[in-house]
Amino acid sequence: MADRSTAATGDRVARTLGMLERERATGLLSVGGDGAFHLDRGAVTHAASRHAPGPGDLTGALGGPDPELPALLALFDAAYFLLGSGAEPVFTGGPPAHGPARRITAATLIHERRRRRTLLDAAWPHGDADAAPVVPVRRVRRQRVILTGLQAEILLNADGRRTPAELARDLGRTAFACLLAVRGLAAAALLRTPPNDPAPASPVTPAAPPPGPLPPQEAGPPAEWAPADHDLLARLRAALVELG
Amino acid sequence: MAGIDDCLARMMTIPGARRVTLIDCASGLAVASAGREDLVDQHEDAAGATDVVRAVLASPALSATAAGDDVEEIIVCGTGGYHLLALTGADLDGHLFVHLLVDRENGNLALARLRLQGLVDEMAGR
Repeated sequence: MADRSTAATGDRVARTLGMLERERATGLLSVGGDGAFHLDRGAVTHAASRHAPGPGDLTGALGGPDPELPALLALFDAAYFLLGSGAEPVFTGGPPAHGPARRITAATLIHERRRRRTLLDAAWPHGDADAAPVVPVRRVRRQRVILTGLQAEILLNADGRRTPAELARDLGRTAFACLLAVRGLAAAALLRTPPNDPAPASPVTPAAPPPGPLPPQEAGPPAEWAPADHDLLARLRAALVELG
Repeated sequence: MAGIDDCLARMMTIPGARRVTLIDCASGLAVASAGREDLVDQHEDAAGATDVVRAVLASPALSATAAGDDVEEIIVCGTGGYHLLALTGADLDGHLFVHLLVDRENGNLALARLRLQGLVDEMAGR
């Protein structure tokens, strides 16, 4: 998703958008299967991404104020993901989109995307949890935890299958807000992060103790708290049942 | 229910009001503003004000009750003016806050707070 995009692939969408702005183009800029920008004389008037909820999803949560507000938040939210997409942008000229149109320049969207990436990386510099299903940890290794309202919503609604983007749609929040909340939860070690493909979890599970003098005690669990041997437990249980 | 630009225009009629910005709390994006044209500064200011709101919300030391009460407003008093950061609360799902700068010479903090809260409620459809 957002973080798989390298500078080169992400730049392609931004460059195309900038070029269309200079040409004052009107039409639809599709970004592969990820979504599209609507342009009107070079300015972006709508944006939709499959990773971000639409204005309708946000309207329920935003309730009162005029419809311009969810539309604007949804536009910036979608633009964040579209600008990071690695898909090939394809422009089709056509009539401008209907409805009340706000006009956002490409430069504003690109600046905003850079700022939001900085915010995410400041919360937690790894994108491991961005696109994976949100899985809360079973045990909290801290005495107390401070959560934002949204972080609490995410933990309460996480079912182990839905990703931050899917939760955003269900909760009526912007996908960026959920990403930021999830990064914060990851930083607080409240989420199980998916194992990385290379080097499968070798530093986490303690291997056989190395020969020779004992190494200095590590921060992990001490040896006597090693994971239980399930076969041994089953045999123990069988023996107890026989006794009873 | 009033439109947002209309609400911001009325906030600018508060005595001493110099500028007002409506900000998305999650991203720090300035959603709408009145009283100033400079867009770049406005976005920088919105991001900075959002940092303040986040810091206050994350700080149990600034809660009035043990269970953690909701923050309605953050006020910064400078020698030249007052910054009022009014959070829109649960009706807008904690999405937004209003940043109002009031001149110290021409403004009155108590009056500004009262008027701002009324207009924020109206904007939230309360």
